[in-house]
Amino acid sequence: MTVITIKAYRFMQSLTTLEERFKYLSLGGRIGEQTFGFDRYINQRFYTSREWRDLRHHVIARDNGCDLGVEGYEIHNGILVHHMNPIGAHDIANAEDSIFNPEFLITTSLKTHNAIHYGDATLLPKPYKPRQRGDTQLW
Amino acid sequence: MQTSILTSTKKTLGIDATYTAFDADIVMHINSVLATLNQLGIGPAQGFMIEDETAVWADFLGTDPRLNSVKSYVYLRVRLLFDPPTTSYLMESLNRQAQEFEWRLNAFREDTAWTDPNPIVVEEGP
Repeated sequence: MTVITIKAYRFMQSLTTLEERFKYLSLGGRIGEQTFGFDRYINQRFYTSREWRDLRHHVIARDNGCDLGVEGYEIHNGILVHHMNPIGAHDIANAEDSIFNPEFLITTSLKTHNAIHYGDATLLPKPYKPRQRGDTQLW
Repeated sequence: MQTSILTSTKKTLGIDATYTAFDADIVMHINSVLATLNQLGIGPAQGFMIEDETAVWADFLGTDPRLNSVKSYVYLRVRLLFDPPTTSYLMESLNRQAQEFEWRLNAFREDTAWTDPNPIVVEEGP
């Protein structure tokens, strides 16, 4: 029996830190692993569709434009909306609910998105560290 | 719908109902948004304004549940005026959502209370 775990926003909400959410969403893929392959045109058509672009704004507004929806990690460049559960060409071709349901979507930065796919936690943004008296090292 | 317009908007902005330091600013922005809604044909024809937390949504909207999106619209517009986001992405997304609500409210109003801008006037001739 194969057990498939579906990741969802309502479960992720109970995790409060970026690291916890990253661990929950991490996919641990490999660099160079094929995703859409020759069906990439389907992927491109989907991500440029009106429906997707409208939904994307909804998700970014819900997450306050923050990385993985965690307050204090505002994204200033390169914002992405990530499917928590990887999608394939057949999901798009069949207009599966999971591809348009905000329950399975989350706002990320480009680096965090790469970290999720390749399991590299070093790519995660570092928390804000205020400078202190005698601190001679720049950021 | 006996919810105060001011208190519920403050709540969505993350301000406690008992904290009144920004009430004057928020009331001003809410009234600006209500004026926009009036131009869209939503709410009392003679206009509507609030002065404090006593005005409730039912005073403005009546009891039609199809107008519930007005509350979210007021929040979005007041947020953009009172506490604009620091990132352009979020600004764009909030604006897009507000514009969608505007479109939908306008479509609703056109559907239920459309007024012909060039009505046919029938006059009795001699």
